[in-house]
Amino acid sequence: MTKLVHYAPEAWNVLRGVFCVYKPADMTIGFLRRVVISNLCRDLSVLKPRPATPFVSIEGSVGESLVVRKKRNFADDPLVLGPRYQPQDIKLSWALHVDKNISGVCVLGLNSGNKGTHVVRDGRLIRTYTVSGQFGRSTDTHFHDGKVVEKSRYTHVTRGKLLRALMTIQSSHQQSAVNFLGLDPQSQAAYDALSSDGLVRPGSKSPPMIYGLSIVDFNPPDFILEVACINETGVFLKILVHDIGLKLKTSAVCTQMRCIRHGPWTLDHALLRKHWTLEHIINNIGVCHPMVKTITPRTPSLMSIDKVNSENSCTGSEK
Amino acid sequence: MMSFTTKSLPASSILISREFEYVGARSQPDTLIYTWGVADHGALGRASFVRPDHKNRQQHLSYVHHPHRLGFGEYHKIVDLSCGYGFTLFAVGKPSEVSCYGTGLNTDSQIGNHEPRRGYPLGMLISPAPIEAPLDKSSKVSSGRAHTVMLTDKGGVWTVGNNAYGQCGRSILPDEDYGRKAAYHRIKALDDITICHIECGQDTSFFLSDKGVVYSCGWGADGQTGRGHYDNEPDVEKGEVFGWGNSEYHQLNSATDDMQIHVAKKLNFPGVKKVLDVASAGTMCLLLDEDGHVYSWGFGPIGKGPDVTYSKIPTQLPLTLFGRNEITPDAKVVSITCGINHLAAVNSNGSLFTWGKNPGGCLGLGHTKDQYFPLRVSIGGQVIKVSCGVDHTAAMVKEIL
Amino acid sequence: MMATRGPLQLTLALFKPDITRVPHVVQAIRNRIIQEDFFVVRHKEVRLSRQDTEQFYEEHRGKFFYNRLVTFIGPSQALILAHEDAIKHWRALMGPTKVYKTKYEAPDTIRGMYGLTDTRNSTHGSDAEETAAREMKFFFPEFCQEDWYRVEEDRFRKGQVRLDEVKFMHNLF
Repeated sequence: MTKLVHYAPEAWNVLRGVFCVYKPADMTIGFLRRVVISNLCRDLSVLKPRPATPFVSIEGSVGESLVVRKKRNFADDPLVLGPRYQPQDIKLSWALHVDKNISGVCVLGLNSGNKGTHVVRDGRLIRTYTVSGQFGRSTDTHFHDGKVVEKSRYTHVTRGKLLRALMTIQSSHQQSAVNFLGLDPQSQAAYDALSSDGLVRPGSKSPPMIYGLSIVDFNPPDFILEVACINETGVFLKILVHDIGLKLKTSAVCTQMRCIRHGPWTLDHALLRKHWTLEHIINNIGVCHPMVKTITPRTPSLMSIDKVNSENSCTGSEK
Repeated sequence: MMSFTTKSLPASSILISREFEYVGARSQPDTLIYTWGVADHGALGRASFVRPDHKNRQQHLSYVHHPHRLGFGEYHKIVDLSCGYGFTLFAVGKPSEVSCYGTGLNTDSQIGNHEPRRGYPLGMLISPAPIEAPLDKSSKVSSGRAHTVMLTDKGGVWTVGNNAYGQCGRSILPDEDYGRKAAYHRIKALDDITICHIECGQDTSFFLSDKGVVYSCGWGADGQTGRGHYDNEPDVEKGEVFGWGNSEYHQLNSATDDMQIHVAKKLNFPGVKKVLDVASAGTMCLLLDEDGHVYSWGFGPIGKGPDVTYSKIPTQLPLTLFGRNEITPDAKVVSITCGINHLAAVNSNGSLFTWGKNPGGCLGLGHTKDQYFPLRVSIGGQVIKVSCGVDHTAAMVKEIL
Repeated sequence: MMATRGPLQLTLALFKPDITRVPHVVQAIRNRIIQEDFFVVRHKEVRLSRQDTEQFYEEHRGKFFYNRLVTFIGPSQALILAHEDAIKHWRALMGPTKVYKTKYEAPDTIRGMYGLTDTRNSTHGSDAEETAAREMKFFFPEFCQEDWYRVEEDRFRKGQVRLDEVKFMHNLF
């Protein structure tokens, strides 16, 4: 159902909820926030604004006839106050602090939708990244723009060896998930949790944990990995690439990180920079609303990636 | 979905002249040795655990509850290892001069004769020492409670150590002092037979020929030798396969209700596919079928959680405990091993899983609490072979690269 | 010095061949014995032959595990221990015979900690006064209980003894 909106307060009233944007690389999330807010202010001010409330004055003296008169109200005049919608009026927060170097899916909450970002954060969703790396050098920041500290040969690295290194990392992370399960590993409850299908989700705060690690492309010296993880940071992904290099007895540096999925949100839902406008954001809030509803915070510590995928495809078809 | 292409980025402007080459293009991954468990008897092979050099701030350690990398494995090409009660054996491939090394308890000369002072043989070795048996090259080693069996490529089967029950395959001498003198013995009865596998019980030895015949010698008080009587058996003779021995804890309940069996009986397991591997601890048995499923039965922590400790019929352990999940859906168990009270399994990704009693942290899980279901051991690399002793464990691990 | 103790009882303890060859286990059990305030009255290293074990385990003849008892031979250590309630106390310290079950039911006992299998259950202890007397006679023919009670018991009770760490035996001083 589409509806044409001309009146700014009408648009403002629906401007609350969770939406999802595609964050470009090399843009801090704070800058992204400022851009989105200023775009919203700009677009809202184009719409027909709320008329100024009149200044009501009662003239005359008691005993004589009193006259009620509406006058022009300077206290509520856009010419005095400035535009109706100003950056400080808009509350915008993010579900996850996304590193400057990371591009891709970024979930934001607008106005009262900030509660939604808490739900997303507490839901402890798996995020999937494509991480590109390059063998042959390592830098002080573990990212390609840092100062090169070492160069080494990588001719011995094959796809099979890379795969083997990834497998070791992945299985050791799966084991460490058991330690953060929040259950005594000697108990029957832990047995029941681990022996049932599905992956173990950390019960509380935990260090970064990798659930899936696969090769998307291998073309030495460049390679692209797909990393499914939880509680990660940009630095963690950079160090992961560096560690893979060390495991393969060479050096490696991260060249690109892109978040392609955050729980049910994928690249298909993310608004590109040209779409960070009022119209698209309001539409996107409508799309994201049912997805926030599917997240149940503080669920039992188990989750199924297949389940997440199927839920995801459901919401996709509804759209 | 989006498509991805690799994109080569220009190298940074800072020029580093030297390019390191850590490995060549044809390098092969090394085999590493990890040991863990009780360190008091020297079976972990690190001298500083037992005899610390306090000047270098080394501390005495009576146990190590996580896998400890053994430096010995880096200098020698190790092809096989085996854990006995308080000692560990290593079969070393070429180009080493000595083919077999051992560390740990040597009270019965199971690691050969080591007499730095004449008349005072060492009862305990705290780091690996050569077993100077007159044999060419051993390809497999196996150890019991206090004896050693070495299988060579061409020179037959050699034994050394305690022979109080005839487990060395020679006649029992009543007053022989096994600790004084190492008696290396080649089992002549097996000379004309191609033995492809050796296995030791506590005081028994078993030899599998390429024709599928099992030969045995040693202690037979519970019918362990499977030869139809309960006496000690110094001679090596043809036996049969399947299940035999003590059944006090219903280990062999599917075949018999007797307490002891001295003739091998076929164990029938309805619903179990072709069996690839079996392992038996003191009171527990494990079975591995061709699909990589593990079945367990007997008494003790058979892997069904702390509440279930007793099972007469084999029950399957869920494969999710052995690393099968949505991300690695094809993981399966490829080998199983048992100590007396702890069990181990290796899956197709080379991950090691252990459970059972945990004296001295021999499960390698980083603590000394008992574990009632399989849990993965953090070990760097792919586990090729694991051997469980009584209170320690050793593993052969292939490096990633 | 410890206080005067009640009348002492004697029992025979045997370290079986499976642990005598493991130095750190022997040391741990010895420490345990001293911790529990036992006196070591006599201590001897013995080497049992088949005939010896058959004679020693005479009471178990005919049971299904008799065979594995008598064939379990090798260097052992025999001790005469003294305590107010030595027989009961030592058996409690050892734990039940069945090592495999003891490991789960009484993991803090000597057998629970160091026992290997049901037969190689690390230690043996007399179960009654008569068997204790018989077994002491068997291992220590030169030891006379009556003489000990007459001459030495009083001084043990008064604590006029010192532990010889090397021989692991309490000597009068």
